[in-house]
Amino acid sequence: MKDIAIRIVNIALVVVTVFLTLMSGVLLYYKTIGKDKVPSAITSTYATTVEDPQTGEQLPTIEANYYSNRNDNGYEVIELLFNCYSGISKQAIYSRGFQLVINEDGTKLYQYNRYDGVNFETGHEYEWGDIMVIDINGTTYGVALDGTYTVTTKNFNLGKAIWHTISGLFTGWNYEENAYNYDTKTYEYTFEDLLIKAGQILKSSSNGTGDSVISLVDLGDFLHIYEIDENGQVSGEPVGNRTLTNSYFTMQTHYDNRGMVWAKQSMFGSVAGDSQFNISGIADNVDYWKVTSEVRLTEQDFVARYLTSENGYYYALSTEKINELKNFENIEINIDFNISNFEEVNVLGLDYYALYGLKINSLTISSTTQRDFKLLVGSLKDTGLTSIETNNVNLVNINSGVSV
Amino acid sequence: MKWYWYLICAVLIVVGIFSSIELVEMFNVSSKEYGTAITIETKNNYDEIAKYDFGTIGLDSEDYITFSNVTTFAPMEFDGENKDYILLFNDQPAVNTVVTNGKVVGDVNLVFYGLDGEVVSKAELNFVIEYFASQTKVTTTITNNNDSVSYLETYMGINGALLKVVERSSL
Repeated sequence: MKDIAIRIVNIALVVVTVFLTLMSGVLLYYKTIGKDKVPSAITSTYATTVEDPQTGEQLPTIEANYYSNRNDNGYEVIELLFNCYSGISKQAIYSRGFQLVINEDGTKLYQYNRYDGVNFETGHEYEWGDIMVIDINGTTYGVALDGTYTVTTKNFNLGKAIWHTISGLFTGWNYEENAYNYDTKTYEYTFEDLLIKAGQILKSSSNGTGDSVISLVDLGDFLHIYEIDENGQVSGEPVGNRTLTNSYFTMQTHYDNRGMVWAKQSMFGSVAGDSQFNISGIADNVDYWKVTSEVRLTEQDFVARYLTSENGYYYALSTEKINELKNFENIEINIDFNISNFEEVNVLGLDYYALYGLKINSLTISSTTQRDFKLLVGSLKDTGLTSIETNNVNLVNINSGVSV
Repeated sequence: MKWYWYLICAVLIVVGIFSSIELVEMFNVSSKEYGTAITIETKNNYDEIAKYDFGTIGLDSEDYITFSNVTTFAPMEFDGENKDYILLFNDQPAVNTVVTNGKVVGDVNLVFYGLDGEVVSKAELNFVIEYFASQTKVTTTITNNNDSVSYLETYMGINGALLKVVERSSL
C-alpha cells in the first residue's frame, strides 16, 4: 500500500516536473527564436501642458530654442526649458532649464532655473534619473531623463576565426559572422544627448525658422514618466514598464538660422552663464520694456450701410476685418475716422456693433465743420475704450457700450 | 526513485514555476494611455506662401534719415492677380498690405515702450516685395526718428527678422 502511494506521488511529481519543464522550454523559445511572436503593448503618456497655479495659464511642458549658427556669426546654442512644479503640492511653476553652448572651445552644458520670470544658474544640477514634477490630467507625475541605449562593438578573435574556418568547411557556418567577439554595452542618455536631439527635431521641422509649436514630440527613448503617490514616493519603475513607451510632450519652439550673439536672444537671458554676453556688434545703448505693433485704421477701412429713413450712412468694420485683426496678438489698433474725407456723403455715425469685441487702443473722430456723430447700440461694446477723442464732433451716444 | 531525481525534480519545478509566471506576464500585457493628446492653439499658424528670413536686416543710409536694405532671393511664382495676401514681419501684420500682379507692399509700425509705459520710439518699416522672373527683390525702408533705427536693430538682434507673405483667407 505504501509502495503504491509512493508510486502515485512519484508519477505526479514527474508529470508536474515535465509540465513545468515544458513551460521553461516555452519561455526559452519566446525569449530566443520566438521573440517576434511575443505580444507587445504600447504605453503612451501625453505630458502636453502644465497649469501655472498662480496665473491659471496653460504652459507647454517643454520650450525649446535653437540658434543653429548656420551663418557662422556666433555660438550654436540649444536650450530646453521644462515647465514643471516646485514640488508635489504643485504650489508654483519652477522651471528647469538646460543650455548647450557649442563654440570653438567645445561643447558645454549649463543649467538654469526659472521662477517668477527670473532666470538664474541653478544650485542643484539635474542628473540622470532625477525627477521633475509635472501634471497629467490633474494627477501628479514625475518626469526623468533615464533612458539608455546600447552600443555593440565587434572585435576580431583569431581563435574563433581559425575554429570557424575549419568547422565552416563541414557545416557551412558563416566565417564572417563567427570570427568576432561582440561586446554590447549599455549607456545612459545625458542632457547633452537630449538637447542635441531637440536641436535635430527643430532643424528637421517643416515649420522652419521662427516661433511655432510641435504638439506631440515623442521623447520616449530619453524621458520616462513616473507615478508619485500622495506621500511623494516615486514608483520604482516608469509607467509602461515592460512595454514600448511613447512619451509625448508639447514643445513650444524657436528655431533660428543665426548664431547666438547676445544674451537677450537666450530664453534664460544668459549665454554660458553670462547675462552680459554680447558679441553682436549692436551697441547696448537703447533698450525698451516691450514692443507692440501699431495698426492704423481710417474711415476708408469701414464699410457703409445706407439708411433711407435718415438719408445717410452708418459705418462699421466688416466682420472679416474684425476677425482678421483678432488673429494677432500684441497689436494696438488706433482709429482715425475723419468724416470730412467723405465728400458729399451724409455720415450719420457708427453702426450697430461696428467694432464689437475688437480691442481698440484709441479712436479719434474729426470733422472740419461742427456736426453730430451717432454711436449706435453696441458699436463700441467690448472694445476696451474708455474715451474717444473728437474734433468738431458732438457724439450722440445711443447705448454704444462705452460711456463718453 | 533515487534521491537525486527528487533534487532534479525540485530544481526543475522551481525553475518551471518562475517560467510560468513570466509567461503569464508576457502574454497579459495591455496597452495603456496616460493623459490626452492636446493641441495648443497657435495664432501664428498661417498658410504662408513665402518666407524671408533675414536674421537681421542690415540698414544703410546716405543721409542718416532714410535707411534701406535691398536683398534678393530666388525667383518664385506669385499670383497676385487672383489671390489676396498680407505681409507679416515677425508675425506682426501689415494690415494695409497692397497686392498687385507681381508685387506686395506693406507697412509694419513697431512701437517701443520704456519702463514707465511711455513710448520711447516708433519704427515705421515699409516693405516692398517684387517678384521678377529672374529674382525676388525685397526692399526695406525706414525713416530714422527718435533713434528708431537703433531700437529696430536692438529688436532684430533679439527677435530676428522674418518676413512672411500669407494668404489672407488662411487667417
